[in-house]
Amino acid sequence: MQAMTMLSPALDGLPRVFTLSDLKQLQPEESGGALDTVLRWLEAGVVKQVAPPRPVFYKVVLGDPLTDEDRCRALLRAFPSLVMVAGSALWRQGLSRQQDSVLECCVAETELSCHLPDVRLHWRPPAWWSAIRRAGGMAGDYHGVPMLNAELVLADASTFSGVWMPDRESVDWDRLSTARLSEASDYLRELRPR
Amino acid sequence: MGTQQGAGKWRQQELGLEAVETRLQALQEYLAVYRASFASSGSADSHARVRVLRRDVSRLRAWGWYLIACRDGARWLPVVQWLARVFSVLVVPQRHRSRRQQRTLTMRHLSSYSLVERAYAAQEDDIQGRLLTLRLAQRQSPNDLRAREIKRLERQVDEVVLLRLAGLPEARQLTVICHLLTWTMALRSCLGLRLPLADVADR
Repeated sequence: MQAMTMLSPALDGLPRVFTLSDLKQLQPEESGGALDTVLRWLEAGVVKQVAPPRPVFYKVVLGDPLTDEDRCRALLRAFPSLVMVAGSALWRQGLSRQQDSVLECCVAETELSCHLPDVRLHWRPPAWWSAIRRAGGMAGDYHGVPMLNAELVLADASTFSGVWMPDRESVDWDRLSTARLSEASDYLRELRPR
Repeated sequence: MGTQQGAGKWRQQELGLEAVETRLQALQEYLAVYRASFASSGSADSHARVRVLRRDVSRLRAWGWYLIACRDGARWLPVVQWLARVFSVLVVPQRHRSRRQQRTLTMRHLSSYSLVERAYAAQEDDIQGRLLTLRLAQRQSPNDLRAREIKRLERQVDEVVLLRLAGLPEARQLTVICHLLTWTMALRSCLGLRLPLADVADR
């Protein structure tokens, strides 16, 4: 308990989402102790590792769940290749009336375990990012996380299974282009798992 | 004694190369996302990010090539090291920008030395992240295999710290090495020759 009281000023000085490197910068004179400090915090349950073994953490505050901004920041720091897909991207672009219950994103890393609440990660092959570039398939970002555009979202969902999509009648089809959807499907067709 | 020193040096070179490869992989992933964003938006911001990242990837690949040459004892290595010593006097140290100036920039331009040092620091953080996961599991249910792995990773952390603090050449010499080899790689690319670390960079 005494140790926790001694450590709490360092924890208070950190943002909700932080990395081991942030902690080392906060206590440069004891950078070797940063590891022990985080280990004690993890054991005490005051912080959690976002996606073990990556050195990214978030503070656990009872009654104060992580905001979308926090989750996005945590994911961006843990996964360089992050792109938002599926119903999550549609909802955040105002193209669906049905809200997602988990944030769905794609990454190039094969290790997909993530301790963030309400987040689901999917693996995509490296060629997927090239296909998205050729198709010009990004539609801005949400708290820094790049999002697929609507046509690519649909093409991606039909190419790779396992992502959540809203019901047909919840999607605003008037704002989608059939030509672009056909083009997007062509770009992703060769990546279809056999 | 000599064998021990040789083994230690070899291990450090391997660790340095691993740090460069891991960092290259991460930079390539950022680059893939930024290029896709730039292709869609065409914004100046995305373009600047792509440009900076491509430059960082080239310099880091050049450093990786230098490490491979050190490991394999390449015959051209003494020439590069001599050139680095000679031309290092011409390198102007990068001016440190104020925090306010840094905030206004889209992306920070790193010196070659900072770029390599960051790769080693990121490797240190990655190993420590693995160490944390293992230590946590070990406290909950101890086992010998995991204990051995923890010991191995602890040794690796010490080695990477040593490598970062004392294993790098002088900053200006490192800058010359990175630039020389970046230009050589560009030339090799024009001639259609295979580039070093191509398998990491193009993954």
